[in-house]
Amino acid sequence: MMADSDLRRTHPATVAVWTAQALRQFGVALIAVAAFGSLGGGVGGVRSLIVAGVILLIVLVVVGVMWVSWWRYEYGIVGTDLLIVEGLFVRKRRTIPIARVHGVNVRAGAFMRILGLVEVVVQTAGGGSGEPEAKIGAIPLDRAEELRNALLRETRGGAVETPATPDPVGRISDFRGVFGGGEVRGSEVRFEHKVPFGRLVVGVLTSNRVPIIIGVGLAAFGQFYEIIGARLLEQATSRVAATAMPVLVPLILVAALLLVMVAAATGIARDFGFVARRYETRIEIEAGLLSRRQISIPVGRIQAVRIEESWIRRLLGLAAVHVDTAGLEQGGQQGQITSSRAVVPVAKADEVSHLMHGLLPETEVFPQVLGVPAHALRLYLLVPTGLAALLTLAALGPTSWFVYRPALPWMMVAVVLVALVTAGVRTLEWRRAGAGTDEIAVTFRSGALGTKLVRLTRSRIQSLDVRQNPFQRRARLASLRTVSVSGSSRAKYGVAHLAEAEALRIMRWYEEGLARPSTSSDSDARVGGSNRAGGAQAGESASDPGSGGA
Amino acid sequence: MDLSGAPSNRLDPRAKRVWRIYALVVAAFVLLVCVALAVVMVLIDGPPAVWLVPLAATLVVGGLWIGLAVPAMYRRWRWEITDVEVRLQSGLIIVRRTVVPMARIQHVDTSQGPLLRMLDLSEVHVATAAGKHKIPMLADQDAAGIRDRIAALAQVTDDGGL
Repeated sequence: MMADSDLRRTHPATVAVWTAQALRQFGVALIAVAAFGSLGGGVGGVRSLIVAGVILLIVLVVVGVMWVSWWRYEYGIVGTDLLIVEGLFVRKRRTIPIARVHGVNVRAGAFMRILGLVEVVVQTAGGGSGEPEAKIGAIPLDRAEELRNALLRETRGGAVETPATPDPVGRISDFRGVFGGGEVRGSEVRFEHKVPFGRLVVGVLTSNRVPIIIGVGLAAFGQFYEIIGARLLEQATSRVAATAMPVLVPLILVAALLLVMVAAATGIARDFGFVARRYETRIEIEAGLLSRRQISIPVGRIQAVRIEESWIRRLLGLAAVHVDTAGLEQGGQQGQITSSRAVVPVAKADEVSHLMHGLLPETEVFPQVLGVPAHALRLYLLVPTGLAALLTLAALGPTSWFVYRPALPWMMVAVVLVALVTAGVRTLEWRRAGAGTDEIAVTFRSGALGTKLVRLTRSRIQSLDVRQNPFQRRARLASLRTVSVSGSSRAKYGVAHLAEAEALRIMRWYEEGLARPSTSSDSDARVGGSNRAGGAQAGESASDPGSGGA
Repeated sequence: MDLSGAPSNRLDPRAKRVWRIYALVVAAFVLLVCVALAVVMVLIDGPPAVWLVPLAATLVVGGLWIGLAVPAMYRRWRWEITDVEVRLQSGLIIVRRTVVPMARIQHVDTSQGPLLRMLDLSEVHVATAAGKHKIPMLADQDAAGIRDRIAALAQVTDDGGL
């Protein structure tokens, strides 16, 4: 046995936290059981007693399972490793060398924050190829701080350092602001970007979350209205209906407004107090009003950088910067895999270059983009416009021909309109589309009313292909596509209908980059460049079978 | 696309036979459905076009596929392995050329189904962090050689590690 006396359990409240998370997942099933049980009527009936018993039993079982897994879960720093021992019968010992720790995420839901607890997620060099990264359940904040410092200090290869250069932001600290508490001496903050509250509100209102929620809400409300409305129409002769209809319309508007406010509020709560800080090898993001999170983005894991301006933000002169990272993180309570994060959720478009310089100087230079050739326009237009018109015709044609002939002219108008709109959008896309390269990176530009710029470092592209259909062959055009990693899945970026010569040139550019695999000529090879090595060694590094004992 | 830059190697010529057999299996299933339809139509005295049209379509499409598409696909399929990359070209109507760097390859394996085993053919799968690429229909010893070569090269060009 190793020095297991150094190991400790997480906070007992972990049981409650895990139970709450599990019950939330089972929530639908529980409600179904309850609903099924209550079908039988009487409150005091035997059936409702049985239902209550079943629910209680489920909860007790979950609590029991969570208690056992908490009781048999221990973690600690042993020598230069983070050791995690877990399991009831099969004891799994997971050894993570501190040198391989890339980043440490800290987060806390509202419930955990009341108890002063946080959850720590340790990102390792090998993470991202299947195994989720080490997650250390609810532990008190000061424990988390100790752990974080121990883990991150070693990655910088030495004891607590005193930076030789003065801290540009005026702080020599490894921040953990949102979680409160004092500052901890750590590494140097090189750049700090805060999103002011007003900007945040604008950002949330112009994000795509709000329209989606409104859409879903209105659809739900529409269903509701249809049912109520149909009932009312049945008694349309009655005066009740006549008075109810005018009430319903404002009601819809109020509901829509309410939805906007809910959507905005959740968005604002999520990104409240957004701060991005750049350290030597990572970016740290802190945000959240109720549930807070502190996330490390190791720069070496960044696969692609995207600067996006949706059409509405374009009108307001705003932009956002996202990064795609490799790595698998079992995110938050939802357990989703997060792969793409905003490092700048919203900023003025003309500030972006300054922010990029501060946060991601490695990728601040986006290669000059060359548009697609003029004669590519017909390829952008032809097939999509024809297809859209045909689909509209197929959808509306039979009805207007067989059911209601007088609608025929309107149907034709609809087809023409759809074709025109498609053609307009595709023309804008043709104007925007383009690609460009420099010594180390490729940029793709796309969008219609908005713009999306993607920058991929050559050494991060997993594979690249050029494809050409017969139309393109005649027009000497070709489509280019790159495949990179985003989270645990693939991310594809590319450009359609590029000049054939340009597509083949970019392919050759990519191949030339491979000709000298061992020289670290790429500027960000220091922090990047080793995606494969990291991924391939995941199995060996994250769970060390050799140290298994008990 | 200018064919000058195409990868140099073709698949095993028996690839055409395998693809034709695959096509025949699919066609057999469709024909079975046609026969079932024919029986039903005779029983209920329905219009014969219900099974005649799919039957004719299957025969025409199947014939074109076996006669024209399979050889075209075979001519199109090319592969090449250099010290730094795996290059592939495939596609029937859309030509697709792919570059997979050695340094990005995480593992490589060969596989063969019963049909391929009968013909002593294998497929090579090359996996990166973002998906798999396949070189199908290679003679067994070629496939094994390619697998070992890629494995060795992918090892050599490991870009340093952390």
